[in-house]
Amino acid sequence: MLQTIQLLIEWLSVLLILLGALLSVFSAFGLIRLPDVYLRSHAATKSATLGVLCVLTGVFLYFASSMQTASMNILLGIVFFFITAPVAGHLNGRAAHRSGVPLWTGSIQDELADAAKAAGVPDAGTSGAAMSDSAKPDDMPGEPPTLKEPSEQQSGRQEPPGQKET
Amino acid sequence: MQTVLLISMMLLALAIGGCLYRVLKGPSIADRIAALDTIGVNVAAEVAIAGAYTRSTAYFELVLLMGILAFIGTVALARYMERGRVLDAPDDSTPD
Repeated sequence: MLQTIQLLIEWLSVLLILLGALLSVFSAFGLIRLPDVYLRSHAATKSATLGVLCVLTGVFLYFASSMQTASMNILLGIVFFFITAPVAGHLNGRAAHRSGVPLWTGSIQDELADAAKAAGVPDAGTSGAAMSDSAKPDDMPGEPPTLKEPSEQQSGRQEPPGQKET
Repeated sequence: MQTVLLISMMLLALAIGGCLYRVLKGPSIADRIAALDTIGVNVAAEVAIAGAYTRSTAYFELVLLMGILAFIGTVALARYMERGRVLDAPDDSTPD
């Protein structure tokens, strides 16, 4: 009976490891295929974190069941990855926006540029903010975002002559 | 069971190869930083699976070390890309 439970836990941990590896492959696929830094950061941060957490949990269960050793290093690694991976993704995205990496041309909202403009910070986002600002004065200033906003912003984006190639 | 672990290691190697493509190709520096962070995280997972494959606990410090190194490297590179320097000096005249 104890042997059966041990075998079951081992297979469960191995399946967790396989699931984590598959999630990492999907993350790499999103990192290749998505068109923008920010969308790629979405794929890289969320899915890679979940994949690594699955892998480390599976390894912890594997060692706890097959060798009867609860490894504190793996537990510490799980907590550390869970805390630091979103922080790293957020830092990278904010640094990309501040150094002026342009958004994808299909993006319809740039909340960081709007917030920086409202706060009066001058240097937050150059080209992405310029694209959003050129689309902004056509709308009502206090209008909440609705579903028909993409078509309005696309028509507003084509209005200035210099931005047509985007 | 060992074969499943081996297949998982191969899948992670495939993921690292995909991230390496983004490191080489990426249009901006932020793409490369995100891909390098993902490579570090995947290497940590790969080392953990290698420890489970060889049934030894000798590699588990390396998992933690790779996590810390990936995080510190990402933070340093992002700060360098954002401000042009890594550490904040108290005023600009003093060299760090």
